Amino acid sequence: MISKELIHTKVITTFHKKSFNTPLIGITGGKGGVGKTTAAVNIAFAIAAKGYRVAIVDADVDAPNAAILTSLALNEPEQVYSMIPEFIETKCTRCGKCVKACRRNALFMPSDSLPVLIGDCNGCETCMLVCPDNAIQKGSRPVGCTYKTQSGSITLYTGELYEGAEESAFVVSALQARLAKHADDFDIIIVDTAPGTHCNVISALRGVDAAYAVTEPTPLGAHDLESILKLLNLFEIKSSIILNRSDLPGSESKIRTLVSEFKSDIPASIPMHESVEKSYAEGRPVVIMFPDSEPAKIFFTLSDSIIREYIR
Amino acid sequence: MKLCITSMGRHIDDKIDERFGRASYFLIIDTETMEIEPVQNDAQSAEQGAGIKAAQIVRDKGVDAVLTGFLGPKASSALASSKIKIYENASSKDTVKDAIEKFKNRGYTETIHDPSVQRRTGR
Amino acid sequence: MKEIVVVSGKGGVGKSSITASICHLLSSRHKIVMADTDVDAPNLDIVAGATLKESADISASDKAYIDYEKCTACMKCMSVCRFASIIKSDMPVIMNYSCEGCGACEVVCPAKAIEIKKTVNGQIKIFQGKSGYIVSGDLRMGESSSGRLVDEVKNRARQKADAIGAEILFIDGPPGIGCPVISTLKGSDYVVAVTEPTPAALSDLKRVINVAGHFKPVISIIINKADINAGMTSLIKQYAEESGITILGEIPYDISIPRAVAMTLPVTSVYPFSPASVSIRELADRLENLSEIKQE
Repeated sequence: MISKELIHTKVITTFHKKSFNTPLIGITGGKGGVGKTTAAVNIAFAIAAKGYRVAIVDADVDAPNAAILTSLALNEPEQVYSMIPEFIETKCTRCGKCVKACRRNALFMPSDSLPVLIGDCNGCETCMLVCPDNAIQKGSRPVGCTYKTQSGSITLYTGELYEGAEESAFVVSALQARLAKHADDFDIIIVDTAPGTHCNVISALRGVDAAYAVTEPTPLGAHDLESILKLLNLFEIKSSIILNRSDLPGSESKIRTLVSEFKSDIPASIPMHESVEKSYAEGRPVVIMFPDSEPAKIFFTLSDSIIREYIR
Repeated sequence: MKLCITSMGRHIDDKIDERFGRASYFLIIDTETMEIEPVQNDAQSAEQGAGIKAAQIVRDKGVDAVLTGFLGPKASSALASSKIKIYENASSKDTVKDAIEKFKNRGYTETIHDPSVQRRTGR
Repeated sequence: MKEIVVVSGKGGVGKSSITASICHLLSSRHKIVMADTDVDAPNLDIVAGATLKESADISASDKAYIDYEKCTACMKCMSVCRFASIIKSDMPVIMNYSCEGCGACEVVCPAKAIEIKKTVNGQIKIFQGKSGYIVSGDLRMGESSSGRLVDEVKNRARQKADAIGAEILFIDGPPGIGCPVISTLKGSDYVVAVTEPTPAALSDLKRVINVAGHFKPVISIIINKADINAGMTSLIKQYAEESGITILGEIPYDISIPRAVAMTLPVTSVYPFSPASVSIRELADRLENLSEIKQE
């Protein structure tokens, strides 16, 4: 359990330490389908339109949609691997230490041959650490891929978990490592997370200067907003709320209560609008396709405030 | 031959446990001498890979065949890798004693492990 | 008993509200137990308007613990951790959210200061709704091992279903295609994939169907808000036809759905004659036939 006592500010500061100085803004939200990626790409394109170099990182590697919403191609693929053990016949003495050490019980020692990997290996390498004879070498299993696509002043970093693989976390880490190499080339980085409050959301938010939680005023939106605000609070991340489809019936008062409870704010409130639906289906951000529409104006205003506050 | 039967308890009169990886006990029976060795299944409480761990336990005991209710794909592949024969569809209505009798009368058919067949994973 | 799993790939396409409505309809003729395996953001109980009956802590996670009396801060543990779960802040600190409990740090620690222990990572909750029991998992904030919590939710739901003699276990799954989704799909007979006619939803739908296909269940698709984009809806149908997947039904965009969600009730119970409810009724009947529940 992560207890408050353990996560004191010092640990959190260390946790958020990043290898570059470019401002990093997280877009998250708890619930799925509330418009996280829509907000991320529109903020990014609005900032880029003002002459800044912007990176968008789509960290929802399970269901990556930023490329679809921007019609950007997937360029420069780099495969992501998870380690699997490979046993060296000439060195292995069949002592069985690896089989015992594997807490996932993924290894099996047959009657008269080398150990075999049968179960789900998570690439922890504990088997290699316990092997007294250096008889295990690193094999690799592809689990996903990352891409980098540049188009004008926008650079999209996106990744995908391969179908059937479970290692979303490895793909997110690979994406972040790839970004870190060139992070100083950008004026700002916008990272879009997966829905939920799980480890991949937390990893994606590592090092952010602030996070925008996108939600809608439904009971579900309010419920999941509370979870993500708790998480942001736990990791001492400054939060603001983007209230999407603000005219949906439901729980706006609950959301207002959460805003004051978590000392957050609602800098943008976006009503349902045809322009958003059209741009979503078309794969062109609303700030590009319908720059004079009400939602686009709201994104431009929000982006101006992000530029003022974070880009120096 | 050394036959391993999954059981709810330590005795021949105990009922069959239809699970393999999460079975309570393995009764290892020498079908010629009818000598019985009960082995507690340490894999029962494993968070993951109970089937593989259980397969390791019975493999280490040197059994020739396993008789159980249902075997998951991983346990099945582990046993097959050590040429241990697999017999399924034992019923929890039967006692181990009933099952031995039925086994001797060829009442169970051997399951041939086919790694290309996607079997239902254990529940 | 039949197990029906509802997934979508993309979140927010209406998975939980449609599940709650189908269950509301089928519960008039069948005994149903529902499970919510979106342990990160469990919502089924809300849309079904159910009340909490019991909850219990679950320890479905292994975590590394450091005994700081023994730790010499040599940081060997940090160097072997493949999950970036150990950070240095004077002493090594375990970040629970990503710790897999693999034991690599325990193995290398020269001071024997690290131990892997079982940890409470969430709760199992049982709700009573009008359509039946809902067994739901709730992952504790900042914890990991959602896949194992999903396994636990399914086990409890199956026990509950067996105990009351339920004919159907309806499982509302999480978004995505990763670990908790795979745990949800394991052992399922019937998979219903909910989508909407947008390029993003179709892309995610294909991904989740490819993952589900691995387990060889019968798969069918529900197109929500089918009338908002006729072109995309026909693309979804084309994909379904090429993949040999049945379209279970189409639900039109209907304000009665968000209104029902706002009331935390299934749309079929509050607006039984709305266009959405009529479509859901038809597809629930079709699902009943497809999953051969009737023959039992």
